[in-house]
Amino acid sequence: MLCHTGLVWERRVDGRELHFRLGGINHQNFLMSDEETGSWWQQVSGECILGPLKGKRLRRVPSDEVTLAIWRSEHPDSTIVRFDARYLHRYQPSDWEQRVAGIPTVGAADGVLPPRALVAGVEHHGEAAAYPLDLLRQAGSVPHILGGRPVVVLLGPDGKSTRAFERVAGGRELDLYREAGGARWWIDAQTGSRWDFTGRAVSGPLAGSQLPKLQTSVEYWFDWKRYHPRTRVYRAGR
Amino acid sequence: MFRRSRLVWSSLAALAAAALVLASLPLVILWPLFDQPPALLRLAYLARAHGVALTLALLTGFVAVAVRGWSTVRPRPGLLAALLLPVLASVGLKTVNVAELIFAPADGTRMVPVAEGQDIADSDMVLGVSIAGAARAYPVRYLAFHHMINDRLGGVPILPTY
Repeated sequence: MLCHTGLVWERRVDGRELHFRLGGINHQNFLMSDEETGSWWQQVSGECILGPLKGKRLRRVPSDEVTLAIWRSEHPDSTIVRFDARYLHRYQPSDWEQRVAGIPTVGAADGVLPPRALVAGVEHHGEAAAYPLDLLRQAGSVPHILGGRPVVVLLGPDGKSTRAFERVAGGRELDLYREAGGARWWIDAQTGSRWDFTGRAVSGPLAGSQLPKLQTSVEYWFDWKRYHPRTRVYRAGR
Repeated sequence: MFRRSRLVWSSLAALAAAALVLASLPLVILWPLFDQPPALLRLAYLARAHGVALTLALLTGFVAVAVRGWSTVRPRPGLLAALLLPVLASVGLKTVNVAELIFAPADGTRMVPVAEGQDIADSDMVLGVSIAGAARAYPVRYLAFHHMINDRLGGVPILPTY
């Protein structure tokens, strides 16, 4: 929570299934301990940092961090985890981010962005970039070149969810712009096709095409920077 | 006689001090507003990994010294108890996971079809996973408390975390 890091890991290492428990905290990111060996793992990197499995890495499972409204509309047959009645008073309120905003961070601030600025972090072909959410909220879509590939980061119609894609379809590089007067569709400058938040063209010459999806992580800048020391930072106009 | 009594008391005090250090090392990974140095993290890990053996060794040593120096310690039961207390506390602390006392593990998880009911607002965030045609939403407000859930989706053992 203090890092704003939502990640899904596969609980299997070298064919062996592991069960994890909360261990503690290490520079505001929590440590997980596996019941099988007692090794300590860093939540945000999936790396085992101490113990018999030191050096092993968990495999990341693709996940989406979106509002419930968007998830339900895209996955009507999904299940959802319910609150445990024993802990109803312990769950965070909807506005928990505002509470966390006032908590000091650890490590030195770098002057590039405020430590608790939210960024959409993307890694692609060995390169990492951080896209400040403030910028995304203004533009609705941010085009970039990452790992030598054309990518685009989109802000969802709910104004909160983010997704990133390679902006390539039919062998062609595309420039996507948010449709005027709305937040649900994007138009590409090359063919005029209309795209939705899942990265699919819903009408126009490219209708039915799907942009390759990339994994995004919306987290605080101080944490993204620590685990991606060579990250680029997207600035308007670049 | 004087020197022997000093040896007994200083041994007991040293064992109590070692127990205090061992009991407080886990604090290293419980304090959020602190940039944990790797060396301290390593010590905290060793205290956790070998905690039971180390604390039992301290307790055994303490009892052995107290028994052998019984004539010395018997007149001052209050001091003996004060020194024994941290040793017993360090043994006791090894039997609990303090982090899980603060944030309960997700051990009573209930899943329902997303159309059947929810605890959160439509505008609240979820961590959504879709594997082999099976989809599941984990409310961020739920994960932010439990921090992780040992789950299985589409036949794959997964660990949603926040």
